[in-house]
Amino acid sequence: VQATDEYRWLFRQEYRSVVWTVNVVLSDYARSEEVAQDAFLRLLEKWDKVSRYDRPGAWVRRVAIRMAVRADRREQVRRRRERTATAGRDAGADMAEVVPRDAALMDAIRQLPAKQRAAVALHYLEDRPVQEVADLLDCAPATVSVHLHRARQRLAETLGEGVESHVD
Amino acid sequence: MSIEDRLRSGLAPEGEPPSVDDRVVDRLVDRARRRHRVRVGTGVGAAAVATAIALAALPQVQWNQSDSEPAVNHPTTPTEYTETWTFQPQTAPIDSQSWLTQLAQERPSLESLDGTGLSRYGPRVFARLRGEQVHLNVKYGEATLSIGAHAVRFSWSGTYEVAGRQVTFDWAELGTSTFEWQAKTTDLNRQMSLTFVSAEGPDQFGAPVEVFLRMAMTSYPFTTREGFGF
Repeated sequence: VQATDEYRWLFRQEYRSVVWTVNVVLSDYARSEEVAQDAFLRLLEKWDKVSRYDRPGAWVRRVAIRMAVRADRREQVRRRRERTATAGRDAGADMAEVVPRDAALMDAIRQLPAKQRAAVALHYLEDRPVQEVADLLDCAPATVSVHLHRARQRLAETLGEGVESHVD
Repeated sequence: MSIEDRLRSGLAPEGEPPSVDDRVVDRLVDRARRRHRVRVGTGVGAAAVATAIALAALPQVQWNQSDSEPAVNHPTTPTEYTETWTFQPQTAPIDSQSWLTQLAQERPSLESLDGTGLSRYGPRVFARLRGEQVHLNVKYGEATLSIGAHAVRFSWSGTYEVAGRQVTFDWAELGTSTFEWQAKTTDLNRQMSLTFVSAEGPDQFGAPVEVFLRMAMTSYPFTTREGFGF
């Protein structure tokens, strides 16, 4: 197994952005780095094939998002099992080194379902159109619009802001 | 500032992001090599075990078939293997069972969407469920969901975890879904009812996956059937 120059270039280009997108889903920067690295590990193992795709960066992003959503689900199950042990844990405690511009917004986003968080991250953080978000999340554009609509509504309720949508 | 504006400006990290450490790639290469060695080792090991079992069974098979045509025995090797395999015995009442619903009828199926705001999708999805039964096999952490009355029309496989009163399925093509379960034993059989909690996954039959899961899994209670299984 070798990391080619092209792989290393892609890693440098995409890694931080994948980590931060995953972080919007997981709200745990250290865990997000683990997930992103697992996704890049998959990319490395399949590099011979994926490097021939038009956008290998989209492939690794899709893998990372799926892993993040699954990791979030497993984490929820684990927390339900260990509710006593995890009581009072600060989900954002691992974000000491890298903080978002709007911490209150990130706190509110933590309350959203994982798929809504993923849609929000891809659409607003990465500025991807709904169709592209749908491709990355393997769902219909209408479903993405519903995710975004519900996310904005929930965030507006939580933060006491108005909802203005230019998306759907 | 509206939520739309806050989302567009507030999600990015504050300041410059940390630089990317190239040594991470080197560590990934090491991990990939280790994983490759484990895969190769596991594959060879599984093949050796399978061959040994096949060879050990050879005399017995020949003896059993001595009254018929000479048997041709081909020791077989597995065609696929998993990197890790763990056995997790389950203890919840819903485990190790083959569960079955009655034939799906329109009214209970559509009522399962009441109050969700998803009722408009109901008729479209019910067209796939009409007159069918839902079969749910849950055993050793592996789950199979099948739709069909006389033959399987649709089938999905995945894993499941029971945590207290909730069971979470991780389906290969349905995403992840969580239900609350209730189970009871009667003189005739066991019964299980599921209540929808959450679901995240790709659309099914042209509707959000929640629609299909609510209609298939929560419209009717499941009962056990001895000896049943797809």
